[in-house]
Order: sequence, then C-alpha cells, then structure tokens
Amino acid sequence: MSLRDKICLLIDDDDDFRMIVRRILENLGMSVKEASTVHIAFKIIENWIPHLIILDLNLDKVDGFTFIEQKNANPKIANIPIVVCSAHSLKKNVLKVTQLGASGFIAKPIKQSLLIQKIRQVLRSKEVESYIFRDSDNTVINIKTKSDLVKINENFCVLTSGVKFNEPIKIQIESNLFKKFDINCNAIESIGPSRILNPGEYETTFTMLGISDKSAQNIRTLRNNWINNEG
Amino acid sequence: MGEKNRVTIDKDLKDLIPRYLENRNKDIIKIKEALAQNDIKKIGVVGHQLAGNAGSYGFDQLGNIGKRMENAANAQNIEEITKCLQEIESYMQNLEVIFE
Repeated sequence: MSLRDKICLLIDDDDDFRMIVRRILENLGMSVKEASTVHIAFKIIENWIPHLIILDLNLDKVDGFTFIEQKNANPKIANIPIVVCSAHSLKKNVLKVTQLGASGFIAKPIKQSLLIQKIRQVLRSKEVESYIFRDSDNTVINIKTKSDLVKINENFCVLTSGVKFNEPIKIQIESNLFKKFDINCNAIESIGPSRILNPGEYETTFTMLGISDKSAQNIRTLRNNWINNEG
Repeated sequence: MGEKNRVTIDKDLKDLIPRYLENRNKDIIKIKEALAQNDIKKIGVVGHQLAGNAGSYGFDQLGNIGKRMENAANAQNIEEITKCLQEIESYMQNLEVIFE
C-alpha cells in the first residue's frame, strides 16, 4: 500500500531520533508532525488527527504508557494506531504496551527497513477505503476493506480483517470471491465479538443468511477447490 | 591520536550527519558538566538517548558505549562512566564517515 500523504505524529524527547525518523517517513511521502512531550502531542492532535503515532516510552513528565491510556480514553482518537519505538525493550514493557492496545513495538536503535515494514503492516490492517455515515437515526456504515476468508460452509463463514465487531450485527456483503463462485448471500450476521489475532487484525464468525440451494452448492465447490489446492 | 574509526553511513542521511555529530560533541560537554556536579541522573539520560539514536544512524559502536554509560549511571559507577566518556571522546576524535 502507498504511504504517500499518510500523516504520522512522532512523539519522542530525543531531537536526533526524531530527525532520522522524520527523514525515513518523508522519504516514503508521509507527512510528519513532531512532539517532544505528551502535552504537546495532545495539543497537536486537537487540530490534526494522524493516521499513525510513533511513540517513545521514556518521556519527560508524562511517559508513553500514560499517553496510550489517555489516548484510549478519548473515543475520537482511541483508534489511532501506535507503534512504540523504545530502548526499554524488556518483555514486560512489550507486554504492557500490547495489552494497552499498541499495534507494534520496535526496539531502539531502529533498523530503517523494520520500521517501514511495521508501519506498512499497521496501516494496511487499518486500511478502510471508504466509509459513509448517514443520519444518526438510521446509521449505515459502508466500509470497503481487505478481508481473508478462513473458513466457510453453507451456514457460517469466518473472516479476518481490520474491522472489529463488538456485538452481533447484520451486514450486507459484497465479495469478489463470492462473485467469482456465484455465491449470492443476502447478508451475514456476526456472532458475538471478534477475536483479536493481533493489534488491528480481527477474526469474526458470521452466520450466512438467505443462502439458496444453488449458492450452497457453489459454497461446497469453493470449499472443494480450496481443499484440493491446499492438498 | 588513535586508529581511524571508519563508519559507513547511508548516503541518504548525509545532510543530517554534521548536526548529529555536533550534538554528540555537545553530549561530551554535558557529561563532563554533569560529572562535575555529580548529576548522575543526567548522565544516564544522555547515555540512554545515545543508546537509542546512535545505532539508528549507523554508529553502532557509539550506541553500545551509550548503553554501557546508561547502565553505569544506573549503578552509580563513576569509574565506568568516566571510562565511557573517554571512549566517546576517542571515538569522535577518530571518526571517519564514509557515505554509501
């Protein structure tokens, strides 16, 4: 995916570290805002929502852990992914930031290639090509996103994507794979909350609704194709 | 004057290096001042930042010295801090950067 014109907020109190990360990100076409403290970071975010935050843990006055907690408590910015870059790479720190919802941890000193790889991975998982909100009484969300099919039968399918379902919800689905196999499915309904595979990657089980006999047959064909290819 | 430290750095970073090295010379002054004032915490901060940024540019050995200095500061080991300071000074004096 292209990182061009994606916006990154870089929070680190080390001028020299910010300088090299800025260079790496700008070479990719990204725009970069910098903050040396958590206070400055939140001031920036008031006016300018980034696609991604790169965060150091060892900051003056308010540390990176606290920043993540405060960000998560604000619904407007809770979903902005964070990649932590820190020299404090003890297992307990990595575990803690993961539990707080950070999308990745890179130990300093960084390797440029690893940073770029992680940023691409994180932003790809968050990639939502379009969304439309209608009026609040009849909210409809139209999301176009990449999704992988994990399992399917005539009654259920399991998908992984960057979309997390917190409760059962019925959705209409348009799928290139379904079109290819002529599977007409009126809608699918999520069963319970999504399972978190990795930060930004979720597995959701859906009930298939309104499947005709023909589509059921085509699902069996798809499964056989799948099994034969894996065999 | 010791043997030259030849370090190969990504040529894309060429314009950043003068400022980076100037800041390292400022670090040496900071460490000396902190030692004179017995401000070991400040030395730990300098060491920590050096450990994080030097290797990111390609100055791996310098980053390793920074890490040792940070550990020495955490252990209040003035002797080791002083040794690290001497190594940083020697490194900077003998540094030759090659851009590729």
